[in-house]
Amino acid sequence: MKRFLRSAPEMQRIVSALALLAGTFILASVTRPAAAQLAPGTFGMPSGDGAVFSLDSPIGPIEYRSARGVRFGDTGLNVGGFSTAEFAREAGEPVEVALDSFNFLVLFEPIQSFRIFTELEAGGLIEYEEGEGTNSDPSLHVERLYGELSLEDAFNLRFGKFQTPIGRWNLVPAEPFVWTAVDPVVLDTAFDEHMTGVALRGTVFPLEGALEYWLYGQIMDPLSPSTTPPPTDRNVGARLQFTRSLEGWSVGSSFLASERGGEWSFLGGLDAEMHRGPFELLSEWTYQNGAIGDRDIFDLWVQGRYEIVWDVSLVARFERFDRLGSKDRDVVIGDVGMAWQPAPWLITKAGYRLSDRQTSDVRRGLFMSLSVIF
Amino acid sequence: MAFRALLPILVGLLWAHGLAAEEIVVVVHPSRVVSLDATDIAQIFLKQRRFWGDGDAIVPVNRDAGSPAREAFSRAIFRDDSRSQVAYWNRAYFGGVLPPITLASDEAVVRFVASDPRAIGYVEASRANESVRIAARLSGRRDD
Repeated sequence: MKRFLRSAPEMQRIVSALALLAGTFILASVTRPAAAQLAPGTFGMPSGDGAVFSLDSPIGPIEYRSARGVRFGDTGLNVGGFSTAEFAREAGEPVEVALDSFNFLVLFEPIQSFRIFTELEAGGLIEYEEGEGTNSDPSLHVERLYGELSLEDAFNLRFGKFQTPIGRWNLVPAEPFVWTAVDPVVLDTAFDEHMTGVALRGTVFPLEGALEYWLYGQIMDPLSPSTTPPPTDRNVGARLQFTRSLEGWSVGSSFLASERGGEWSFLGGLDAEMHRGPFELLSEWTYQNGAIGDRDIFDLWVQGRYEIVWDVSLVARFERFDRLGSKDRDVVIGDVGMAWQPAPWLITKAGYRLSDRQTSDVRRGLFMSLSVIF
Repeated sequence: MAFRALLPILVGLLWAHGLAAEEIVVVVHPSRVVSLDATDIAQIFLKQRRFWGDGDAIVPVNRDAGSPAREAFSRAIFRDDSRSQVAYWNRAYFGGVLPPITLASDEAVVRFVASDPRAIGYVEASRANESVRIAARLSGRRDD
């Protein structure tokens, strides 16, 4: 901490950033009464339930529900999305402020047993980097695109590009849906975020709970793969998750075999989630080893969130990350911060990352974000 | 000290609220013969369970967040107010799953459920009529 906050200009930048966040908080507070006039919800802002506006049309009412998108009458089409502005001040790196992307979520359910879903990302919108100025390099790419046939709860067949079902975080990794402004390190190092292929998944209901299974394979070349980590060519995996919703707990396990250039790596993982009143606990353990050297890792993270007053949560995460066989070896990381979600469609987060040392994967620093779901 | 003084008043208000809370009933189309427990109802309204036994899709119907019926239902099934499910539905939204549709009144819920054999909703007990079948009664808090 002392090493990071070593000069007055750096302090000024951090104070400025905190002022920016405080301004955001104030702005959101000021907008509360106006929003409440549109569609009163549980706590005064659009709740995500009622329609903010509705327009009669030949295809049925066209309605916008806050944080749930626009539903186009009876066509089965729903279009919404999210966007996030981020601030990062990593140790040894210039300050970065970015409106990184607009992500559009498009759902088309023409009949009860079939749906098409896509997430389109308009990225690289605008970024300011200290010393470099403002940069913009807009691009559009497909984050997810799949069709899914659902014949019953136990049988759903998905084809296309989808989130790799490993652990919990990677199933919903986008900024507005998590409680910290920075992800666990393992997310960018251990496995491909998406699969392009086929998945068989379903849910059965034993023991007053829900047992969800996934069997999937990347049977074709990846569509718009991310570059961190370098993508693999073929994958096959499985996941099991048992949830007792009423008791507020869930456990899961994941397996993945990945192939790149004829060499294989194997991943195993365990994860758990628990809710008790204002307290939430999440944890994932991941181990991967094999012939793909840059994928040999051990990782364990545990994250706690406590809602101290309505809408405001304290969040802390401990992570131990180890690149097996690497000079970097293990790193212990602590993320502490807070999140404020005054309405379902708005969340702001600020957090500080601590670590016992810095590596190519881990840098200490201050991270903040403001996300809107629309 | 102030809190001690207010405690009996708070307890009294909570007790009075408990007395005033009306029973909530879960209703389905008259043609659908089902008996549902709290786990089934939770899974249906979280869209974890999406199909009836006969293969029809389940169409759950909510009241608006903040309405007495919605909050009583949420407390009875999920042990918390409807706000507690915001994070769940935000995450589901990212996965392409939308929350149940909402209707503005108990009467609208009854009309909707009576008109669609796939639908399931909930209303205050006094609002249910012979056009729908009662699949479960909720006391306002779960005992299990």
